[in-house]
Amino acid sequence: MKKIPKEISDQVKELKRKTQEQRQQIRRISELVKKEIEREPGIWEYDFDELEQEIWNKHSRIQDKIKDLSEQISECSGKSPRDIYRFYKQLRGNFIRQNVINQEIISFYLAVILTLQKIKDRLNSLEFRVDQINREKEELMIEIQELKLQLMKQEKEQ
Amino acid sequence: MNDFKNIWNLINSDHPEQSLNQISSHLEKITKNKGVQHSYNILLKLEVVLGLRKPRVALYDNALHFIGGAQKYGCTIANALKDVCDVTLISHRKISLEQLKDWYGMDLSPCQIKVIEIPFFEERTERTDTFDAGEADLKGENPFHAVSKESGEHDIFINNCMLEMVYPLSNVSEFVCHFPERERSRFFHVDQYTHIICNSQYTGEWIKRKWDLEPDEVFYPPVEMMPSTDEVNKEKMVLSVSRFELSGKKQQLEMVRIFEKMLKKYPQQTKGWHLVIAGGSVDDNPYLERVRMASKALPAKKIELKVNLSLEEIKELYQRARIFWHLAGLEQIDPERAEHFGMTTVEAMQNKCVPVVYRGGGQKEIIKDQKSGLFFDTKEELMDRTHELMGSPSRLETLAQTAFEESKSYTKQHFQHKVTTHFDQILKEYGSV
Repeated sequence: MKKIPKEISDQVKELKRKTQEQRQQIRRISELVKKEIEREPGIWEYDFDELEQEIWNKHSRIQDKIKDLSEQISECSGKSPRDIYRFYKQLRGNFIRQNVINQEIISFYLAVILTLQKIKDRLNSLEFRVDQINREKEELMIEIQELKLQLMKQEKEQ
Repeated sequence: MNDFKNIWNLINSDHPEQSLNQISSHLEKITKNKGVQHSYNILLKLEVVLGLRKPRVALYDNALHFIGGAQKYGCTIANALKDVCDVTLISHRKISLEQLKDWYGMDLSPCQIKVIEIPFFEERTERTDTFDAGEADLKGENPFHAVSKESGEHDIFINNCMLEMVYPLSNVSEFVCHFPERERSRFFHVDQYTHIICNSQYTGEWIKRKWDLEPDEVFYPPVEMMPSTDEVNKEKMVLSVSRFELSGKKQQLEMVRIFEKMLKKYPQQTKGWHLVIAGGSVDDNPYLERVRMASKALPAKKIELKVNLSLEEIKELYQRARIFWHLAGLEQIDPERAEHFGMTTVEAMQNKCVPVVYRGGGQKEIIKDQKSGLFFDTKEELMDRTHELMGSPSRLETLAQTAFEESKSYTKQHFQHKVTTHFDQILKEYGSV
């Protein structure tokens, strides 16, 4: 490498200073690199906690049912042991039946959620790959364009 | 690279003075098409190639203000680079070089320190000294762009806190990964880094499985627990050293229960043996309280809990212990709960303390079963293996010696050599055309 004159080094420094100033004025990363580095938020940002919240909101009547039940239990305290026994037996039967149904429903929804999660991850990774390929494609296109220009320039010079 | 070469050819021409206008217009064109960062990176490289300054390195660790293995790992990298590069350590909170010297025994005085606060986490009602990147709002704007922008001011950017949301803008970028914690999200940028460095083959395997990316280098963490003296005063002690995590990940509670069972099952062989569980803990740790309660079921001489000991006290325990237990990963499904490497296992080996550890995670890379330690898959196996060792002093001796020899591959010198070789190659390529 031959020695570069000091004036040139100074010019390089000056160019860098100017570019740095220009760079500092830009806030967005995508603007700094002239490409979108992050996609817009979409279905993949779906929050499962929100889904749960949504389900509870839809079934807010459950709270009223719980209140009714608690009142019925309170009423039992003034009744005979036989009535109380009957009430609890009935309640227990209902709970057992409900429990069986709940377990089936829970398993079903769990399977659905897990499947959705897997699909989400898979699609997410596919989307990234597509994105990567597109980026590479764009870079290649730019390079081809530059090479074409260089070639044209060379042809003209010749 | 082609852009750089074109500019370089103009500078390296017979009349570089005449080329200056051309360089300027060339850069303008690049800025227009590829962004100002691209032009800036060309000029940064040009300065280094022309020998106008040393390469500038930024090492980002948002938890640098806390003492920890990952932070020591990063500081050792900085230490290896400080003489040949201008190194800036970037953290989330203020930290002094003196403090880092106290913690890790490294003089990083030529390095600079810069604090970058992340507005998203600062604006929360509860302002904490650290943050969980997983809490970032994936629907909003990437909160780590402030760090990304800073990365573009340097020639080399090292992301030491596996924060996959930081988009690297520097010419060369290194992503240090201690375990891929999160899934790919819209803020995932690890695939933009020049190299991915991980701390074990196990972590590397999970980087492939979770992120579909190939790690470039494995740098095992530096472990420095070699005894200062050859004098060995070994006792019939089973030792465990690991943090009392709130989640109980290190399974100290299980250790107490297993040891209790062993005392009942093998009263003769366990005679004279005792269990010491040492580790750091935060204040008011409910998990530690559970371990404490469980240990009360054992005779006082048989078990000791040692919390938040100094380095010297830990060293002394390693020197006295004959057997080392590590249970992280046992009966767990989540790969994150296994030991990603196993620094304390190596520390034990350096002190001729035979490791009996769960066959999982990074431990499989450190230990050769039946040669430098013993593996177990179940609690019963742990009891059997330990019992075998307790009854065979000569076997303990042989295993301890091999463990000691093999532990030499994980010293600081070894780590620094790997780091230096890796970065020498990068700097060589970066400083030339």
